Amino acid sequence: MSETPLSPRRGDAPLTVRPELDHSLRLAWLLLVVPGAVWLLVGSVLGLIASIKFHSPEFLAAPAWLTYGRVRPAQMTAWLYGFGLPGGLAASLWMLCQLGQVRVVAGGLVAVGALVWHLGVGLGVVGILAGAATGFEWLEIPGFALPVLFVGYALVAVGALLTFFVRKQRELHPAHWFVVAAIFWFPWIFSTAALLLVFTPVRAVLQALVNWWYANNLLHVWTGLVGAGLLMYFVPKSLERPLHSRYLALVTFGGLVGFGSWAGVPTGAPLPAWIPAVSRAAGVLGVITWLAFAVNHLQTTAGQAKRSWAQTPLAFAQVGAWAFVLAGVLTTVLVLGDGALRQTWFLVAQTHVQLYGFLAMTLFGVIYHALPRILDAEFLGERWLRAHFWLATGGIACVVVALMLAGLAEHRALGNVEIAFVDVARKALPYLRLSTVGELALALGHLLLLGNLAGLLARRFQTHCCPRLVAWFQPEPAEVRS
Amino acid sequence: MNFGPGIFLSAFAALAFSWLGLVLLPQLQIGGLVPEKADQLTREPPRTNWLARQKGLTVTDEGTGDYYPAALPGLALRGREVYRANGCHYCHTMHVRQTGAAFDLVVTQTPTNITRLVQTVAGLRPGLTFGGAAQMLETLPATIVSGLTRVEADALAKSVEAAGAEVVVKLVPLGVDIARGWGLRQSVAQDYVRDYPVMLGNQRVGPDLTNIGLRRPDVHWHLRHLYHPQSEVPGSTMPPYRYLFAYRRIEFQPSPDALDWPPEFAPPAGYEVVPTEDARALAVFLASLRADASLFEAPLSPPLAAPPPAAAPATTGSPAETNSPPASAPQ
Repeated sequence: MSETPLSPRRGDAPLTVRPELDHSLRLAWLLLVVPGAVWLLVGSVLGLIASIKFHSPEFLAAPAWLTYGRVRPAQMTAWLYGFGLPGGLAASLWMLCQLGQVRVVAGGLVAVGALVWHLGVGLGVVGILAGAATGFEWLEIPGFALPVLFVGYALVAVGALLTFFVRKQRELHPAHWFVVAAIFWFPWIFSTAALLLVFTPVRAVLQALVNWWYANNLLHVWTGLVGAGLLMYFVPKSLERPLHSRYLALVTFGGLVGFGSWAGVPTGAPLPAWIPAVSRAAGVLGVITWLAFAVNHLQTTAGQAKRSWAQTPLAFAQVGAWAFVLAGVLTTVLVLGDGALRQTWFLVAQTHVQLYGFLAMTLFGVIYHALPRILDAEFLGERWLRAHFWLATGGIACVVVALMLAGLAEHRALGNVEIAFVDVARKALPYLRLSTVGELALALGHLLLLGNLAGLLARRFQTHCCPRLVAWFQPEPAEVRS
Repeated sequence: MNFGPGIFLSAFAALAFSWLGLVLLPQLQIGGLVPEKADQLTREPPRTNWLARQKGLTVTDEGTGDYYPAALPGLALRGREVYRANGCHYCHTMHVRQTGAAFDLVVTQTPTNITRLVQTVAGLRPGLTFGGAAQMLETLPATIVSGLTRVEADALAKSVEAAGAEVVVKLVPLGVDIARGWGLRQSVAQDYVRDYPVMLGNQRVGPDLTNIGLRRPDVHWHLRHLYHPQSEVPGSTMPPYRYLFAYRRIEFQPSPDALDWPPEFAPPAGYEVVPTEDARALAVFLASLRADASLFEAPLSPPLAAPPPAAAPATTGSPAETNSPPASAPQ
């Protein structure tokens, strides 16, 4: 397919900038994004504790709620359900308003949905730390909080879909495919997993299968749809160029939904042999997803390297885009192996690249770009955004490289039966110490994020709300004495 | 060009297709697994077919111990809840992987005139002398050839049997997990039939626990390990679970449940470590974990004991249970 410009209208004229589109998202974004940033900080503190416990098992060993087996799922829940999902929904809403040139529909409903969602996540994280986790990875949120999450999501999704359906610009941008598919994807996989794992559980090892299916569809397909869709809109928009190829976007989309949805079952799983075999084949075929995306992104940003790293939101998006490609490469490596590498730290590294390096960094870029426009205020300073960028990028690179090396060292040692298992576990220790440094950097970055958001809100309060408040309290102006 | 509805339809179809293939079809195939009696375990499916099972039976077998998987006692069931609540599956897997199987030829009974047998055995392996073969056959059961395929093993067995010996073709599962002693065979769906939740685990920060009850059957070992992992496994990176225990001053006399410690790890005089109900439940659960039954889809050769003077040896294919009657009794 030949190029099409970013805007559905032909030619190079950009979309008319209409501030009221952004302003209509104010309440929804505040309630989706700000608690999300708090969850991010909570998650990274928990992650830091988890990371330290590996090389210092006595660290905070006394309280039950801080044991590794509770802190790790709490961290991942806070990151994915607390920030990844609501952040992705917020960014999708913004993008739908921009592309459709329409204000958000039912903004109040979305705001209520956001509150309900975060309540559900809160119940979930507290429940996990209290020992009520379900025992299923990526769905540890206890059963009593799952319907709350579902209702919250439904309210937000209704607003998003209505915004999509009433759009004034009817032509579809590739980002539309990704984002609208994602909005439908989550309720299906979530309700299936909640029903078949928690409420009316399936028998025996089918639970593990449904768990792998859900985890893969959430962590790889859903995040891939939202993140890649946002990148395909945001990067061309910021560079004021069109997306390079609609056809490659279609290949990315097809690979993600067609092959990506089947991947995720590890080799050697205790299931009828056709299931891991088919899943592995799908995982290998999923190569086209990240290849097509890489070519598309490379061509879209061709010749604009300096500019694309100069603006901080775009720099975040660049890291996100290349992290998507790296995540794809790591997934292919894991799928092609014999399954032993998947049971080491290598898998945790891959999860970090996918969830944090790709989704979170992309969302940071979109948030830093859109929030000042939505709130009609400025951040305290570009250097604080840059500081967050360096902490986040450095931190995630440190964590990922360290965990990859730990996984490879562990894999080599595990294959050698002469080495006792205790020594195998200890081989990963130096790299785990390095990953703790990375986790610390990420936690500091989240502090900066919250600081930036607080500064922005304070600025808005100062410039918009303060004068009104001051005017309330001021007495009537005295008559000018002549 | 506006792909519009086509795109969304195909996305919907993709998700529906993956749901059909990875959720519905497997449910139809193995959704009907139930705990099975020993004589059913080695039968070929469709005992696993959900549709076939609808004709029948639900199995309740409390207390008889004849079924596989065996029902866990109440304290162990509670222990599984403790395992889940503390997220043990974030560091430990509960499935053993196997990368194939090889066959060994094992002589279990030699004839009175052993010369012809020794000659045959010496001919089976290049470089093996008559004296070497005779030495090999001195202690029974003797593994004379290993690492064969099934066809090779059967052919060689015939020739050795023709020399007058009783021969068994023994199945040897291969794989790193099995070489490390984490299991006798790979884990299969039948092993998890009674489990909820099934916590297979994705990480091996700690060793696999499928058969920990075979390696460490002592509940007190587990209790000491949970309280202070490095006391039982020096150099372990496992965190301690002290909150599952009560560390307290001894009142009047020591509690009968207090843990015994070697001198270097014992608490100071006047203090004892007493496990709570949760700790005991978890230890009992761990000591109950085993997956060593021979199944059709994951066969095991029965253990071969030295033969008594006049009894017939066991044949392959019957289920192996470590508490089954001794090999000398008729099966």
